[in-house]
Amino acid sequence: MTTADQPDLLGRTTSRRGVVGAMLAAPFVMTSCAPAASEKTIGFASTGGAFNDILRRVWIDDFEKQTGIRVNLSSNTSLTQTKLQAKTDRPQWDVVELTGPWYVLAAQQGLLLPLDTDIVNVKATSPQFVRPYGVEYAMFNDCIAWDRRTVSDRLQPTGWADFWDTKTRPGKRSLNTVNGGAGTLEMALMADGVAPDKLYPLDLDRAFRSLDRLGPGNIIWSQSFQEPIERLMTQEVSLASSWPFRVTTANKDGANLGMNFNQCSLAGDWLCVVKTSRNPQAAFKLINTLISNTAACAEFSRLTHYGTPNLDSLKLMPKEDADLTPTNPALSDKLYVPSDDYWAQNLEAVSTRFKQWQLGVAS
Amino acid sequence: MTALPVERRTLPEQLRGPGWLLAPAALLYGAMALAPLIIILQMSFSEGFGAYVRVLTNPLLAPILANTIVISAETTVAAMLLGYYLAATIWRSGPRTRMILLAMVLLPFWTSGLVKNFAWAVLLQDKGLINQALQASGLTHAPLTLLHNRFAVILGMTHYVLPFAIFPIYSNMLAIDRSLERAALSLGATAASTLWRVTLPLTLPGVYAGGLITFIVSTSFYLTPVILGSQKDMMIANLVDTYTHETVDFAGASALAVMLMVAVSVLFALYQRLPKESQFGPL
Repeated sequence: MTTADQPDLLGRTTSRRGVVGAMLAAPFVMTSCAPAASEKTIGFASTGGAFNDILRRVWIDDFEKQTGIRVNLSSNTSLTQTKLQAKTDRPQWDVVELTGPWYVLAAQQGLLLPLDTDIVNVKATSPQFVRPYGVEYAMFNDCIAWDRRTVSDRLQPTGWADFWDTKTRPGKRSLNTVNGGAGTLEMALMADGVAPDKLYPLDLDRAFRSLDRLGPGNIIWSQSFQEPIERLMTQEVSLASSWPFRVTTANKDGANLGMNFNQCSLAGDWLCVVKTSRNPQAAFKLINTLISNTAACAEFSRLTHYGTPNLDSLKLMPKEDADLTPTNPALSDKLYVPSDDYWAQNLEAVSTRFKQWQLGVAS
Repeated sequence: MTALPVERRTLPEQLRGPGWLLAPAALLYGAMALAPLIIILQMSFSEGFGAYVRVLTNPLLAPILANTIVISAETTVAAMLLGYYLAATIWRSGPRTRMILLAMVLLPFWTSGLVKNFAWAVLLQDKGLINQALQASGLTHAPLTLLHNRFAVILGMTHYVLPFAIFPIYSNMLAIDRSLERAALSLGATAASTLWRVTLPLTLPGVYAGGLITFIVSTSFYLTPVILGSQKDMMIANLVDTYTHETVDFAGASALAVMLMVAVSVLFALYQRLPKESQFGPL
């Protein structure tokens, strides 16, 4: 029989038995159907959308040209997917972008390779951005946002106590359940007078009492990054916890939103390599590129107002953009850094209690 | 003693029959539905009964289970009341109206759940069409809170499950011999007592089937509580999501999914035992 191994239009040879076998096996080993990872291709999972376009424009196109390594950029990174990737021996993702608590959990669960500091030039960064399994980049802060049509400039909130004050500033509030609502309890504590540097370990009783005071009926939970902006613009809420990049983007499109950074959190994403990566060297090379090219880091921050661990890049940026970049030392007295370790250790217990509160049952 | 003749066919003969044509579907079903189920079952037992213990001792389980049962029951009642009325209207309409009404039931049925939920969210919001109309007409002076509460969840879910309620009742009605009603009327029954004592009992199998299938479909809602409800309206599927995406506990998520599946299977077994409809009432 010779018909079985005919090359198809793309020149690939497929045997009929192979196709049937692959169909049967597909649900079990989905990842192995991906194009075979050659030495020259790595996967990088980031958040997707416009952010991925910027990653490609600023770093990845040049990286591919210089190294000959092709980068498959994908969207919707998550700890869930990272765990699944680390379970297969041919992962589609080599480099993953993880939030702070995800990073700690992934490191604890042994899903990551230790950072190869022979390849990644950590000297280009400040030490607070480097941990044993990854480097922090894409630092962003949240903010208190409002629609200037609803809240007059005279009444603009300067902290969470103002945000909680529904007498002076009537209307509902948008808070977030993105990432399990992390941040809300900190806001509740600061609204109750706890200083930003005295937050951890969280006084949960006090935090929930403070949320009771704001009242479940006054809170609308937003589940995505864009919802708070939409809720402000439709005047469904008068104040929202949001993110500066979303606010400035909406304002460029004609909205009239105000924002304040005081008592807001500074977080970032961690660049890590999945334990089962077949090209760890190429993966670490990509991470090195993302943190060490100062000019590219400055361009990234100018376009997104996200910070990079490469603090020298701030000097290469226009002042108005540097002012909005959260790694700017001028903002350090306004922003606080959430404890990823606290959240990784207590996520399950705190999240359960938080949901009990949201469900309206006593804990 | 002579045994009754039993027709026995050899395997090749059987393969020639139409049953063989089911093979591709069976294969596809096996690969696409059964295999993932087996994987979920495996994952749920990856720590022995550990994951089941963890899920059953989770303090969120009781309130979320209560939510699931209450929301599903409320949705079922709303869908049955509306569904019965609509099925009867379709049944009694002329062919043209019947076609239009059926299209109005089926079009939303074929529309993506995401689209339907977002459409409701747009209509129900504080500055939405419904509140604008109410305020413009002077009926209300401040916007009513129609979104992100239990009302919105029940509304969205009822809209979604309505066809599941309508079709069993409607197909039951089609099977009814209309001369039974005429007989009742000609023997002096009023229209109301004909409905109560003849038509309704004849359609009960459809009502049972529609009610049970509506309840079964309702228990596994995920999207509507997220988009139209608040965190207060979390249902079982949302808890599965918490296990998958928040605590990244695949074994726990699988165990919960398996428990939901077993519970629904019990209901489905009940569904199979419901009286079947016939021309002259339940069999």
